[in-house]
Amino acid sequence: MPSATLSVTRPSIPSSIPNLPQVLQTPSGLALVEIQGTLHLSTTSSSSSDPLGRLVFEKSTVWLYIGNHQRMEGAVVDLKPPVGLLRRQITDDGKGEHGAPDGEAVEIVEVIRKKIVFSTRPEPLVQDVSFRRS
Amino acid sequence: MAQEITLYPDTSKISHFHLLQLTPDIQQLLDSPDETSHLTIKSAGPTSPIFLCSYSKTFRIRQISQSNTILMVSASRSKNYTDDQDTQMDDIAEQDGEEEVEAEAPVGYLSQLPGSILECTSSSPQVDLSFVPLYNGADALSTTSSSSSSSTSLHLNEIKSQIPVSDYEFANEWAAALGVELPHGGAFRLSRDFVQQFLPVFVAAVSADRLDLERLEVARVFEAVKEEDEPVAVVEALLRRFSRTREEPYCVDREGIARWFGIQTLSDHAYKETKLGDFLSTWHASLPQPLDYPPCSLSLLTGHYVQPTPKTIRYLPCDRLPLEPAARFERLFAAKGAWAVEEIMPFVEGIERDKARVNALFMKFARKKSVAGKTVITKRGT
Repeated sequence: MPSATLSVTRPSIPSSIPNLPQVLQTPSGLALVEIQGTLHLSTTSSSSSDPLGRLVFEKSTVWLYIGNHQRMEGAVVDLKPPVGLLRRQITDDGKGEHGAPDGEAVEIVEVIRKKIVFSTRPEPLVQDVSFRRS
Repeated sequence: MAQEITLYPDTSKISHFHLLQLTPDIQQLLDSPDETSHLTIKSAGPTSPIFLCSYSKTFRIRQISQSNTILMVSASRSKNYTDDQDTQMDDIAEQDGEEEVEAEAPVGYLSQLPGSILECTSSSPQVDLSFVPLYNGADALSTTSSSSSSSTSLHLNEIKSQIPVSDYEFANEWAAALGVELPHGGAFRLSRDFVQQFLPVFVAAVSADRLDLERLEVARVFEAVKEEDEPVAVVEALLRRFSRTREEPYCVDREGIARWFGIQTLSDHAYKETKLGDFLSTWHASLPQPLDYPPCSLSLLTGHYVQPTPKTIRYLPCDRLPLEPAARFERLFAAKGAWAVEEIMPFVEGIERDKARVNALFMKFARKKSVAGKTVITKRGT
């Protein structure tokens, strides 16, 4: 019968994102972002050096800037109920870190109670006006 | 003042992450060290439902699809959360740190999570132990399976690993099914015939030795039935099954004995109804003497019978009905066309306990009618 052990990991060293609002600070430094639509993340390592965009927190509003030409307006909301972030662990030899019989173990690495929701359409953005004039 | 985070993509190992809804039940579970030490995700097979089992509780896990995109922002790349790491990405991150990212320009790494959330709902244990061989006495070890033999006997741990329920619930179901693990290692269920023969002897011997039925010890009872030449494990399995306590000293459950004999008597009428009066007489006569039992009342057999007419009865075990609501209602209406609400409830509670949702099931798969001022549940379209 397929089975996996499930453990709960309590991060001992906080690794929060600097400047992330306090409500989003979690012990592992994780936050959830939800957007309507699809965000195409590049899978090539070369493109991973380029910034994807920016998250800007202004009082109760959060802006998500994607590239230089689009932005979305969002807000921080409570997750009801909260969610646990599960991570599957599979070692190279097929045995789980916790000795699961099927070589698999799962751990809850974080409990997340807030998320940033972007429920509006992206707004077009004209950023470099001087460039366009020239 | 606005706070700003520069986002970089992190595409490594995202498939290893899932989101699990932490309902109050699950949060309570995670706060209890006794329960979390036994947490296991189990399934009976690759295509079977998945269950989250703690020490004493079982939750069914369902995958709820999300139309929105769910992303995770982390303070670091997935290095801390994955087993191996793309070192090239590390190099890039270091370069970023030196050349572009200053202390006042924090960085977050964005990765996409699977487009679904795992939802846990409390689940009643669905334990099918019918594959466990039957025990018919020390002299006649036999099995129900045509291919089984002593060389293929099952061990308790093997059986336990095939049942996706918590340890505590398994122990209860194993005891209820009269499960026994014999000294040579084989695990069996005491057969109906064996119990019907041995339990009267057992009760008579215990009564003859004037043992305290409220405080029975395995060793004393074993001594009382020693002449029967049955293993002590069999004696203990019987005590555990027909006791109100889970451990020694065992306290004889007279109502439980009466119920068990009632169900066995009723199971002879699985395909054809019988007269209620005849059934009650047979049931009463089958009870092992000389104990006093509660009156043989149908309330003891709730969820095991249907009365096609007020004067007839037929065996209909709730735990053998389909779990899928449509199929279950079909079976119920095949057994009886119109049910009183209190009659049908034990059969519906097996798949749904919430009263509002039970009503929704009635609306969807049946029809509520008022007949002579009484609400009855009938098949749709009748």
